[in-house]
Amino acid sequence: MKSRLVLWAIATAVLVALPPLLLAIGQPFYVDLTRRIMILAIAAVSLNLILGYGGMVSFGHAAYIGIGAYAVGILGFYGHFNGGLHFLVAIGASALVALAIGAVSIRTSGIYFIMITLAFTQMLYYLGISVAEFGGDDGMRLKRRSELPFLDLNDPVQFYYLALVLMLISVFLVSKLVNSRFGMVLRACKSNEARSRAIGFSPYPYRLAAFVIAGAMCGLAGALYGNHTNYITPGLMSWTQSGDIMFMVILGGMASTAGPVLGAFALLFFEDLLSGWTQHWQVILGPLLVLSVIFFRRGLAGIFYKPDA
Amino acid sequence: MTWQLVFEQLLNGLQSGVTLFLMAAGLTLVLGIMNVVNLAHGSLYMVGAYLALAAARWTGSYALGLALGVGGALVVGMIVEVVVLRALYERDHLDQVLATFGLILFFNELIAILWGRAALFASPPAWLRGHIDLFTGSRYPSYRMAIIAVGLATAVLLWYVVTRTRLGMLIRAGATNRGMVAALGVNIRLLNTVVFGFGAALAGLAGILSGPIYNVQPGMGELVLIQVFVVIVIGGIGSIRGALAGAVIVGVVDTLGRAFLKPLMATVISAPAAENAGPALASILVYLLMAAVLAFRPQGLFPARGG
Amino acid sequence: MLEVRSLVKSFGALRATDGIDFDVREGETHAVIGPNGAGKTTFIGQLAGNIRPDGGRIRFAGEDITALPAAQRARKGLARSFQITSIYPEFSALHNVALAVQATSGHSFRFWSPAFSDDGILQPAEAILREVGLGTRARVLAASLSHGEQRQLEVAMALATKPRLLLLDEPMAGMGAEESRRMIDFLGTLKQRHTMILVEHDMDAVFRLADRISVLVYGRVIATDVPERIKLNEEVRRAYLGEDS
Repeated sequence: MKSRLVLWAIATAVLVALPPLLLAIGQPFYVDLTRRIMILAIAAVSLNLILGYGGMVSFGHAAYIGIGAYAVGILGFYGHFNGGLHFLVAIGASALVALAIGAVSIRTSGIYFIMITLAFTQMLYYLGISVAEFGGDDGMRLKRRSELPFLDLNDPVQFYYLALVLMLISVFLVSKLVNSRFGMVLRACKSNEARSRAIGFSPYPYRLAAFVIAGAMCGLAGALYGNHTNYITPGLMSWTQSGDIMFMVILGGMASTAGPVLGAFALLFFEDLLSGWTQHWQVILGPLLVLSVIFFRRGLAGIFYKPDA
Repeated sequence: MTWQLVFEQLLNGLQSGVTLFLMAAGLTLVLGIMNVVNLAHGSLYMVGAYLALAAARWTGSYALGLALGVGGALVVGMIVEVVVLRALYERDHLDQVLATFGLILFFNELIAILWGRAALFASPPAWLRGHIDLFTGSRYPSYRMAIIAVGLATAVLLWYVVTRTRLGMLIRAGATNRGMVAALGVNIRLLNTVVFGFGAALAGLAGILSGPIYNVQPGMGELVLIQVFVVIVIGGIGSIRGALAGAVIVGVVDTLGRAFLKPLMATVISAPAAENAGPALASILVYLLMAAVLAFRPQGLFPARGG
Repeated sequence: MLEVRSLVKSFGALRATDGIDFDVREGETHAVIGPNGAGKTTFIGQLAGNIRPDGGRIRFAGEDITALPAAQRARKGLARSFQITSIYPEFSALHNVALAVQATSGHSFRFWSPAFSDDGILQPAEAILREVGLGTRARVLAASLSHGEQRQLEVAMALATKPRLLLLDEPMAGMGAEESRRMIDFLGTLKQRHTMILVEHDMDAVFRLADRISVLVYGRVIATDVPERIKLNEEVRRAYLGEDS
């Protein structure tokens, strides 16, 4: 347990030190990249809650990135720039949508659940495309970034530290959650659903709650992401984006708190590297993902420590 | 909004439906029998379309292009089954989803490398470029009518194979109890490859037929695939009957919705509001339908078990 | 305590449960025996709430539970152990039982404080493990336990939910002679404090533990009586001819 804290402390220290270092050597691009990775890591952490710990293969998680981003964009469109409002609406709207989708989907399982979550996300994607006022297919440019007290999101370094803090907070929240009573029931239902029912746990309410929490957290990530890219398109909600986040979770190692963060860093750095070589990097990434699934089971976190008991 | 127009859109819906059916039939069998989630099914749709287009240009003959396209999809499908899917049968659905997702990335990019990212132009064969006269007095594109015919013929063929042949019997047995079929000494590996290849061929056919109507471009398969998922959820996994029913329902609802929802809504609410709300609602109509089916009959309209 | 009337369940053409009348009195140990294929698994499934009967009624402690799903029955005090071991393999034995304890001590929508640092859960769990004979194996991963130990864990988990009725489905399945004897002794100690339904093939156990025995053949109960008279029952002997006796 202590060794884990030490590792986290080291990682945090590194991340804190990164911006001044990178700026000193004239590589501001990597500050932005790392910031993007940390924001998506929040999305991965939220997915890990329901996927890694809950066993729910939700292929539609990117929907909440889209909702969060559009919350910022749409509020800005109508002249509201208060960051607090942005984040609140992003989280709230995501939670509500997650509640609606989850209520219908969680009654199913297995293949059905995967297809249904995918379908609902696609539905939101089409909704996003068809509303011409907010840019439709082309998306919309953010008029202004969210305005926060004490922080200027237009300063890349300040934004970076905000992302870092929020990422650490989400990891902390999830780690508390999965060891709480609620979390244990969720994990039990994943481990052996029949047994869980036999001792009196009905999976549905716990799974639904987890789904909503994960959606809300991912909505926050979406609001941050919208601010980061300054440009909001329905493509944020595409299922390839969902697949990417899933891969971060798997790559990093499911059912571990650090896994999704490691996975996000690994996947996105790797994508960045590959895309520097060739614009057709996906033709390499694709088979690599296939191979990693077939052969590489425990994920990167397994290298560092044993999974949670 | 005349009756002729409605009928025409109905036919369009039917045409879109049978295209979905061709894809759904293969996928529902793979899901039902082999219990494998295969996201790359859309890639086979795309492969069929591209191979047929390339072959037709090369040989100058549409028919030859069609044959090579379907054959090519069949071969690619079987290769995918042997190389990738076999390693995934025993794994959980998550692994299958991710691995086949990797395949999608691979195929999309491969096609982009070979033929570029821009949409290609595919045209129907010369002898199908005309119109035929409907009993309603209006005219309807021959090509679309041909698609409907091919689709329905395939449905009949599939019905025959599944209910009247030994292969079909094995398929149905596999859909209800995979382990038992294997235990009975049936070469389950060969059966799997055959079923998968067959499904791939159907998907390829769907891609080829759709080429002239929709876009031929990388990523075309995924757009259709999700609709196919909706079809299967509505119709029930593992059931060909369900796939047909679901496909026709989805095709018709989607087409009619896109054509008539905006004008219908404009009669009830203001025109500018309908301008936005109409297309928005139309685009999500089938998903709402899916949600409704799930709420009342989560196993679909014609589930395989018991059939 | 438990009252079953006219229970029927068919799977296609097969009538797995063909009109069963069955009851369990408070405090008794009621064994259910029958040859393979008699429909015991289907019967237990309907009692536990995993299989929905086509007809008939089940009353538990005066309440009609026929339509209740398994999780709710468990919360009402109907605990079961599974014939095919069904535990949480990646948790320790202690955590396995702790989860069962947690299920019946307050609600579980608590999101912050750790579940298992709460002595209210861990201490009772440890006590039950000791009772069952697994006290020294508490920290071992459940998947690493021997088969016999896992069967003990099954029973421990059922006990941990503070049940009013224990439904034990072949607790000694796959156990060796020595382990079986220990389990029988243990179940003997449970007799005083619990009402139990015991489904078993091991006739030694059945005749030592049961207050009453019901014999299930082809989905019907052909006899319900005290062990001595069941031994002498003609129909029962015929049903078992060539099998356990």
